[in-house]
Amino acid sequence: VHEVSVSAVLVVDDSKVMRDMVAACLKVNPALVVSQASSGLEAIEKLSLQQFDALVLDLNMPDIGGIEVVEFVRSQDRLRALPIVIVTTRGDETSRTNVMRAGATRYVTKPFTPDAILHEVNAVIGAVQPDAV
Amino acid sequence: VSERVDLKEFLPAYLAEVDEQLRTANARLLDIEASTRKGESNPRAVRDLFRAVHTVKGLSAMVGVEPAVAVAHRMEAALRTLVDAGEPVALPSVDALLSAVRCIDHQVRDLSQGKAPPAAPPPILAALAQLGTTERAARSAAPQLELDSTLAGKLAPFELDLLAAGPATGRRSVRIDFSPSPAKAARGLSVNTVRERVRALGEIIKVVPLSVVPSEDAPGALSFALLVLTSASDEELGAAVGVPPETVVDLMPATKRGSMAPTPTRDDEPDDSLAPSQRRNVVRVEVSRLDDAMEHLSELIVTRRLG
Repeated sequence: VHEVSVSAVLVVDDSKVMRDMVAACLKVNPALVVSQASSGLEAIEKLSLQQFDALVLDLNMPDIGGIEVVEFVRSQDRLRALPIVIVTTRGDETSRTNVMRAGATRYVTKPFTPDAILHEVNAVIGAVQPDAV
Repeated sequence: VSERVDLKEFLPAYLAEVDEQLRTANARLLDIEASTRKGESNPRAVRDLFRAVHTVKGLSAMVGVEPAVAVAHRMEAALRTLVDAGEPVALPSVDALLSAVRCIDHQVRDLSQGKAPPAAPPPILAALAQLGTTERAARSAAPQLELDSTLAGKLAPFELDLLAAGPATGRRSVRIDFSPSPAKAARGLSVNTVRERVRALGEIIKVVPLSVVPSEDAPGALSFALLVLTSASDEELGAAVGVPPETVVDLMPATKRGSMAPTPTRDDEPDDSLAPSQRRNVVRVEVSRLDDAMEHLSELIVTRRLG
């Protein structure tokens, strides 16, 4: 029997369809438990009250943007090491540099394939690829 | 072998959300137009419009609707220029953006009917490429707000301007802090519900998350500073957020407001309770809505004649 530890992933996007898409891609790996937040503020609240192993974050959201969420997370001792995968349509180098400098772990541009986003999340939390289970 | 996800399965949900985003885009464009006719900028509406277009672009890319991606991409680039300018959006720019929204709407309708969405007409793309050339960047003087520098640094210039202009519109600029906790969540108090309650009492300009020392009130070491324009009392605001009224902070105390009395409205805008578009002599509506209205009117006339 191969034991697989479970990892909690928080998917943050103001678009419900986009959240559902990302969640569907990640749920292919049964070791990932996926929660959702519809705004950066809701995400920060959830992160302060619950334990997550990775954050999948959109950049362009109302109230506060993804970069502000990254900056806030990195300013908190408890969350400083939390892996953050940015998911965005901004493919330009300036955006990528700014976000990575703010403290993001990975940067994925839309459109992405289901395998690509799963691969990125698995990589940051050290999860076993579903095909290998 | 793991199961595979086909993102095309999300097409019905995509069509529904894009329709919603396009309605938002259209409504914000009408707001922007109303502001421009008054000689005012409306940066919040421009940003909301930008976000709606950005969402359309991202979703369209995910399900492979490339013609819509092309239009949304041009709109996004143009809107970025307009956001940076912070000036009233010129009416030809509004027209170009309205045409672009209609273009995506047609593309998506075709898709929903099983047809291949057409490419955008070149004149629409050319008009979008010209956007922002009329508008110039200009910022007002730094507002006299009692905000600490950390908080002020989290606000965009237009948000500072809005807070500073509060007294001129007969409203106070205030700060209220909310710290989430499991106990408050059990009582239905979360950042989402608090925002809804405060939104009923005024206009939320910005919510800023702040790291605080962990305490019984803030076990997650987190507090949200809500910056609000409102006419509500401290008691009403405190009750909405679940905090004592004395913790509500006025960002522009009376001593600093000076002679910032409410700005008289223009003589052709006597009633502040009316929406901007209602205060003007010209109202723009979507043709489809006008068709609906005409149809209802016809039914009324027929009913009355038969009655």
